[in-house]
Amino acid sequence: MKNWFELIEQYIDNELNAEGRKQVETLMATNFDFSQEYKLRLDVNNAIIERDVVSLRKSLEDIYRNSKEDTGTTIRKLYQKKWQFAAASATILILLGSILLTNQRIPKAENLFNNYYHAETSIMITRSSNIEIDNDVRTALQFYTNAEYQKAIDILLNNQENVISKFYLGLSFIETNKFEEAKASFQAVLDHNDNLFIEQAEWYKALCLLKLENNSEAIQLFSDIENSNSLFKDQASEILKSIR
Amino acid sequence: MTKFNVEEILEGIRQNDAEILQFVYKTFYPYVKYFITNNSGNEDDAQDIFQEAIVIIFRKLKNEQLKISCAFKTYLYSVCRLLWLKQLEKRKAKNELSIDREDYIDLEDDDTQVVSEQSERYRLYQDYFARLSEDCRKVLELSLQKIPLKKIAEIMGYKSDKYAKKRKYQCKERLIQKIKSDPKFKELM
Repeated sequence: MKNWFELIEQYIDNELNAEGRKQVETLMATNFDFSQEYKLRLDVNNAIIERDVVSLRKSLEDIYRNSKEDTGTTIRKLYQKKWQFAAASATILILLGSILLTNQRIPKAENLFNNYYHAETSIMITRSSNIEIDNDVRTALQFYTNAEYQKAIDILLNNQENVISKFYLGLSFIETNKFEEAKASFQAVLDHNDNLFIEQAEWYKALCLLKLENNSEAIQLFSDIENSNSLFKDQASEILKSIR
Repeated sequence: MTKFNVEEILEGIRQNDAEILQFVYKTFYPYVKYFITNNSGNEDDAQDIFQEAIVIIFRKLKNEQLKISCAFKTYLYSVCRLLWLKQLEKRKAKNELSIDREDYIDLEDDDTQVVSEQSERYRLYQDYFARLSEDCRKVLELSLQKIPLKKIAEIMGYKSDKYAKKRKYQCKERLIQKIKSDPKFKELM
């Protein structure tokens, strides 16, 4: 299968000689799984460069979001008299409180997570020369970079002495859809309280809370991020606007 | 709000024109929302189906496959209706519509189904692409623009074109694995 991957990619990139191309074309004609794999990889390429559709979707989402905000403004205009507005605000606060207490589903929590979660690049690539890490952790980060998350987890679970391990353990858990475990790993980074990963750990923990539908905790943490100087304050603010 | 005729609306969708899209949304979304929320769906479903229907219309326009011989509202409603029935079928919910009071045309036999299936697949791929690290997204985009590996290495600050190639393969593989592990993937293939 791994050879298929390279072969297909080389075929798509026009890097094969005549013999290689013939081999691929024969496989496509005779092997259903191979031709499906080829179709998938070609489709994915086409989807990546399809900027017009992505931009249309974005325009439609913006219109929808703005229209929801306008609805909020209209409600405020309807209650222009101060006492009426105060009464309405109180009602909204009570409703919001009850939503938080009962921890109902945040609409589009899944979409929000998908829109805001971006896989972190491993420090192997970005800061390898600046940080000293032992060989096991280095191997785990290589697995993480290669998207072999379970292998990364297996090593990192046994090497949790440093914050880097805990942080990438959290990210690997997210990538394998283990959000409770990911949350605990980010909490461990936050508990350490003296490292370079605090802002990222807060942000990813908040996204895990969103995914786990721990909404009151998620809102609290996004509010903390919004009110701090975090790298993620604008994104936290956008998420809070979508939720509220 | 200014009113637009069918041709203007289609041209506006093709051009991703903010004013026309706003008009389409304000004028027609309420009907779609009413239809879906009264047939086992919620507002998120309505928004999703509405967006998907506009994207399908856009794709058909792009491929020059679209000829509308009815009111735009009827056509849009028909696409939304088809998509929602398909969705109900997937959810194994009852797909008898309790409220279905707008005019619609039968799209079962035309290529709307095919375009919609392709659109759904591409959406999944694009969602996962957006979730890759910035570094990966950039490498893949640059290589799909046919930029030479040497230049990619230069732009990305990699030590060699060999590493750029390795990174490109790693990123593509990561993306493919992510897509394949999504439960929706099997449904869509």
